Amino acid sequence: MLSISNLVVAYGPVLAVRGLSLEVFKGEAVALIGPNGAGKTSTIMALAGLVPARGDILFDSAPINSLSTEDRVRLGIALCPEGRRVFVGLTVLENLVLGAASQPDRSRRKQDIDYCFDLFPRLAERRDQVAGTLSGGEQQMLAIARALMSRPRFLILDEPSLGLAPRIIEVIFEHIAKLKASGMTILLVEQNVGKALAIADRAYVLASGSLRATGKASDLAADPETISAYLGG
Amino acid sequence: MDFVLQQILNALAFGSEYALLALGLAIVFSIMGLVNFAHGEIITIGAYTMYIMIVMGLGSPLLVIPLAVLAAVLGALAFERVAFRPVRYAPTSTGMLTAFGVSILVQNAFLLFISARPRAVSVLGGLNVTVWVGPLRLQLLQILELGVSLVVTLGLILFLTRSTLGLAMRAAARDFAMVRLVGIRANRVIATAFGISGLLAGIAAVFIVARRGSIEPDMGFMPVLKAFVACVIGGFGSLPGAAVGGLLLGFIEVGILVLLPQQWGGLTDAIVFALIALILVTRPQGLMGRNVELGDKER
Repeated sequence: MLSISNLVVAYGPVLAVRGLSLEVFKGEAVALIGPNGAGKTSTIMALAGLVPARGDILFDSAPINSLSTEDRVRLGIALCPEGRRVFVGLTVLENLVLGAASQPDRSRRKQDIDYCFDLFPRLAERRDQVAGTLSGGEQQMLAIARALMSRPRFLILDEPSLGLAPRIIEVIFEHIAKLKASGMTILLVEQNVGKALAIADRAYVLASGSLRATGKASDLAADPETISAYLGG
Repeated sequence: MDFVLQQILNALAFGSEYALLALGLAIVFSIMGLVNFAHGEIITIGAYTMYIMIVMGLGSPLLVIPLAVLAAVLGALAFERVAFRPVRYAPTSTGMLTAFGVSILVQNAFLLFISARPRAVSVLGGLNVTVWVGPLRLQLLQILELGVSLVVTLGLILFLTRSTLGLAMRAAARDFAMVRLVGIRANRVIATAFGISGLLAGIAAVFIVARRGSIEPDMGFMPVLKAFVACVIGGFGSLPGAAVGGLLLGFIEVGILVLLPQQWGGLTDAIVFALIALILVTRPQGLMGRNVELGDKER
C-alpha cells in the first residue's frame, strides 16, 4: 500500500532522514521505532507532504511526492500528529466536522460521527465541550477520531502515548488494537517500544536517520540486543 | 444630555468604521501572520471604482455602492493571488515588505492614471443629511454606519461559528498545518480571509467616501493606521479584540476631542497614543490577545 524508497529529509545542512526505505502492506500494522531525534517524525512529515523530501513515495503504486498535503488526505492518508494538535478553540463535535472536510459526500458525516462516538464513548459525553479543556487522553482520542473522519485507508499515528499516564496509554492502545482488528492499515510511530512491538506485525528500527533493523515485531521484541543497542531499553 | 448622546453616536460611528477595518486586518493576520499594510489600498480601490463609475456616467448610488464593494473584494483577492501567495511561506518581514510594495504600487497607479490631486465624489452626499429623532439631531450616515457594521459583524460571527469553512478559519488561526492535514485546502482558507477583509474594507470605503466627499491616492493610509492601532489595543490576531479595539479607539478619539480645550486640539493624536501606550504597558498582549501557547516539543 505504501512504499518509500531512499527517503532523504534535510533541514538546511542537517540530514534528519538519510535514505530510508520502508514498506507497509494493506491491513498491516507497522511500527516505526527509535530514540529521540532518529528521524521518525521527519519521515511522517515527509509522508504528509509538510516537509520537502527526496526519494520516492508510492501510495497504491502511484508516486505522491508532488501532491500537496491536502491531496494526500484525499487519497486516503490520514495523520494523527505528535502532540495531538486538536483544534483547541473548537468543540469536540466541531473538531470531528473539520476532520470530515475532505469528504465531498456530507450525507455520510452523521454516520461517521456516530461511528467515532461508538468507538470513543468518552467523546460522545463531551461532544459540546471545547477541545482545549479535555484531558490529554481525551485529546488523543479526539485526534484519532478526527483522523478517522476523513475515512482513511492508511492511518499514521505519531507518538499516541506521548505525555499520557500509563493507565491512559493502556486505553489508547486498546483502541488502536480495535482499529487494527477492523482492518485498518496503520503506521505507528512510538518511543514506547514495548507497546509498539506488542501491537505491530512488523517494525522498523530507526537511529540517526538510518534504518538499523527491521523484521517481525515479535522477533525484534525477543531480540534484546537490537533493543538495547538502538533504543537504550 | 443630547450633546452626550450625540457624541456617543459619533464615537460609535467612528469606532465601528475602525472595527470593520481592524477585523479585516486581524482575519488575515490570524491566519497568515501577515500585517497587510496594503489594506488601505483596498479602500482606495473601492473609492476609485466609485469615481470611475461616475465619470463613465453610471452615477446611481444603487449601482455605485455594490460595485465599489465588489471591486474591493476582487482587489483583495488579486493582492493575495499575485503578491502574497508567492511569499506565503517566506519570513514575516518579507510579507510585510511585499505589503508595502503593493501599497506603493497601487497608490502610484492611481496617481499616474487618474490624478495626484483629490477628486470630488459627491454621489453619496445624500447620506450626510441630518435626521431628528425626538430631540436628538443625528447624522443619517452615522446611524447607517453603526447599523451596517453591526449586521456585518453578526454575519461574520455566524460564518465563523456555523460554516465548515468558518470553523476551518478559526482552527487555522491556531494551527494552519493541522488544518491542511485534515484535507482543507490552504489556498481556499487564505483566499476566504482576503475576500472577507476586502468585503469589510469595501463597506468601510463607502462610508469613508460618503463622509469625505472626495478621493485621493493616499486616502487609505490613515484608516489602515487606525485599524492597526485598533488591532494592537485589542490584541493582534484576535477578532473580538479587533472589534473591541476599534470601538474603544473611536471612543478615545471622540472623548479627547470633546474634553480637550479647543486650543489643545492639536494634541489629540499625542494623547490617544499615550493612552494606548498605557494600555499596552499593563497588558502587552492587548486587551483580548492571548499568549502564544507552546507545545511540549517546541521547535
